[in-house]
Amino acid sequence: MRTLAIARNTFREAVRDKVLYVLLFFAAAAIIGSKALGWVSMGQDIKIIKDISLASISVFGVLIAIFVGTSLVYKEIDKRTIYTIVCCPIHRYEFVLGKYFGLSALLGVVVLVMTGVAAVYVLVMGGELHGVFFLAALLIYAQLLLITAFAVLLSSLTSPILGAIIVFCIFVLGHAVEILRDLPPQLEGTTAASVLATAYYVVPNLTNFDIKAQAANGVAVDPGYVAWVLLYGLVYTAGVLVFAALAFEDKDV
Amino acid sequence: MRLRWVIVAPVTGLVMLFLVVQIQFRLDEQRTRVFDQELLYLPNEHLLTHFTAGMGPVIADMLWLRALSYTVEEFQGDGRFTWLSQMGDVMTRLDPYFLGAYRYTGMFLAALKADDDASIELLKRGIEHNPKAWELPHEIAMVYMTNRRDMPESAELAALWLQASDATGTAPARVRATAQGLMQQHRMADLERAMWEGILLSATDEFERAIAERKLQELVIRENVELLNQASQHHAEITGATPTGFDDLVAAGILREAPGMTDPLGGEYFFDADGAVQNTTLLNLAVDQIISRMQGRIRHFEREEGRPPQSLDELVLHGYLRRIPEHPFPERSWQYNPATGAVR
Repeated sequence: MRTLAIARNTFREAVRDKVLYVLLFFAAAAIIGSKALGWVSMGQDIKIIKDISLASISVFGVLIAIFVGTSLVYKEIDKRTIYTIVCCPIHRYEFVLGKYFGLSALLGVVVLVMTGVAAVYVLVMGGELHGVFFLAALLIYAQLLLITAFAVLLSSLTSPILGAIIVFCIFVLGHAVEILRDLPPQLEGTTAASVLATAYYVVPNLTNFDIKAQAANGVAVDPGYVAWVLLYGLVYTAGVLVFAALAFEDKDV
Repeated sequence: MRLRWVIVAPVTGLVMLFLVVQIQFRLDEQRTRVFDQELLYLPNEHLLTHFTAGMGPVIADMLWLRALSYTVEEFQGDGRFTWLSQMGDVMTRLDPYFLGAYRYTGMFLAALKADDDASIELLKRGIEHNPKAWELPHEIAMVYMTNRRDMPESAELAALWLQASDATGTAPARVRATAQGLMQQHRMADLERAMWEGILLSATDEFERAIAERKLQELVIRENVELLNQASQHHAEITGATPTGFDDLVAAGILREAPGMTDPLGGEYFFDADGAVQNTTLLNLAVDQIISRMQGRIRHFEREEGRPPQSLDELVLHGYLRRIPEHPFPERSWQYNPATGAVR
């Protein structure tokens, strides 16, 4: 209940943030403007609209998660509003979870709105929508939840700028993680290969969440795969949130 | 305050826009000159896949737009299409389901660059990822019906690919009709014409239409050459001598008047030393096709041996080529540069 109250306040606070609307405006502009590229694409306009829509949802969602998420806890400490909260009968982990759920709800609304705008736009432009388009949006949201968990963790540990840089690196590395597995043959059987193989499983594999290509081309995705990815996201996110709560428990405020 | 927004802001905006557009024009002029170099540094598709942070499909779209402008430029220019195959590879590795990239790059490679090997390889890779798309087996059938029409089994293979296209359940009716025509051993040229006419009718894009029109013109030239050769043979039967020019055919009463020497694509008809009618447009196409095939074998040799072959004979010696194809133009031969691995 106390977590919910903090989540509600975090949501309200984030909704009032002008940065959110600026990012939403650019996302909507990218989606609507994508048609212009389609004019010179030899019949690939609908695919391009879908690609740019899903990429916008992903990129702008990540930007919101990083910029809002990494300052969530830090801002409370910096403005000293944290004192009014920690002196209340509330566990620190409840505060961290409340912050996380508040931002997650905001991201949920953002993804929902952008997916809705993109879907309507595709239909208006005469395109066809398949279920996989919405599954792709769902997995983008699951990815954003994981990124947000990292942002909240970093928010408890460092300054917003450093936190944003680290989370952005996690985002990029998470998409490049397959490179740790596709090693050149000369590394086979070496210690380096074992270390890199371990790193492959430890680093969050964000390519799991990426079915944007299938969504834009209307290629069906096995629902079992989506369920496994959601489970992967849930387990990883829960783990990172535990670390975030622990980090905040130990923090001197 | 108001005055600032009503006068100063629009004036500043207009001045800025004017200057920016002028500078951009200058920059564009300079950039088109380095277009080839720009493509030379097109990154490896594996690297791109790993470091695009999930933006692979969008980058593939951007590359597709670039590939289109490159293809149109080459189509209207010297028609080398050097980077087309690599662009197709990168696009389809970044977005393995990009049907349009497989289909049209395959079509451009076969119809414009005459590189049927690269076209079929790309289209087959596309089928692995898009097994329900009728367009990809259809394009392979087109390669067999056009680029490989002289192969003895081409009609059979084209029919099989068309059946595969029809089996997807989404192909237009003309695909099944052409497959049946091939099986009933109708004339390949008639079926090819019907296919290109179908593409011309259903094309939604100006460039696709231009390619279909060009292919239909090539068919007309091919038929003209065939008819003129029949006339030449007829002349030999009647007079006992091979004709040396179209005037001989007119003089023998076989042709009412000498045909125009230039074809609609700017090529010329001429008699070779054996009295056979040739056409430079068709011969140039054959040259491009053979060069594409030989360059593919040279690249294969280079990958395997770590160096380009010293001569074209070395390709035959190591089993990369069964024999060196004859140059389609009479009295011309292949020029090979062992330093660059280029054939002319």
